[in-house]
Amino acid sequence: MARSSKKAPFVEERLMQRIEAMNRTGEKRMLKTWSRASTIYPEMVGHTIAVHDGRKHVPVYITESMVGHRLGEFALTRTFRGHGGSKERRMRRK
Amino acid sequence: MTRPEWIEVGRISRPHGVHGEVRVVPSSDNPDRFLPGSVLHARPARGGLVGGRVQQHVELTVVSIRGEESYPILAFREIADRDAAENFRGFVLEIRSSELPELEEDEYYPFDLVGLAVRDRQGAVVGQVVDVLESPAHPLLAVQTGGGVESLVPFVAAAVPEVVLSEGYLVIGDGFLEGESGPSVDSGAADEPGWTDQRPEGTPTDSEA
Repeated sequence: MARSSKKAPFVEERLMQRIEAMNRTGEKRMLKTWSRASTIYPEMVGHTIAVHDGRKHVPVYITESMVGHRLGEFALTRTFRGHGGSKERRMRRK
Repeated sequence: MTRPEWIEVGRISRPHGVHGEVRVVPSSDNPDRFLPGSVLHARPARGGLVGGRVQQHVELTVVSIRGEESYPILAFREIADRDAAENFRGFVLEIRSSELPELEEDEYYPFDLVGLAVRDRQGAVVGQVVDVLESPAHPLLAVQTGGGVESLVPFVAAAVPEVVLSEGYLVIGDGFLEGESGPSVDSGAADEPGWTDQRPEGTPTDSEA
């Protein structure tokens, strides 16, 4: 069953407090969190949140397109590093 | 920084049909890589009997490509029938790094970033890029700092404002490396300093969960 719409999307309270405090001061620090279920709010855009993947914290730089998703979607719990070697795969700095 | 001489673009999976066509698993994101007329170099994936016999790369010219993009069927001029195609089962297809196309601004090959020195905003060398990882959000740089600590840094302009491949370094913004004063946890008092690997209070342990 979906979450009742009278409640806002779930977010860890302490995490949100930290984000709001940083937004008030204009500070940008990486926040560590274990709360993979927290929803990404617009207030988080531009911050970097290190999300626990069960072993370590994976830094996730929050962008506008991530709003509404859960933090855990961006820190996979299973890592496949490929078969190594140098492959012709380009990547873009966002 | 020097690039590796050979760059993998795909692997021959298995023969297809009796006319010497092969199935290829591409590892290149270049849509023009397997166009007819392209010249690729095949080598055995590992040593052993076949690897011992084939000392050098075998040049293969693409004649045709068909099928799905993720698992295409290729015909090469040098492979005439199924028996010849069988001999190439498991071979790696490569190109010389000098044949790689020029990239647009803010595009990089991961192997160009590995080994770069990491500098802070003041210009001091603080570590080295040891790996580049893929992640759903953005690529991640694994940076080894002087104390042997490995940090993951998001490869975004806000965290990595400058990449200078010609001089072999990149600049990482303040607060993105582990052990710096920046990062903090989401639990506890607001003035809690530094990184902590403690679980927040109230989080169930494995035995409680």
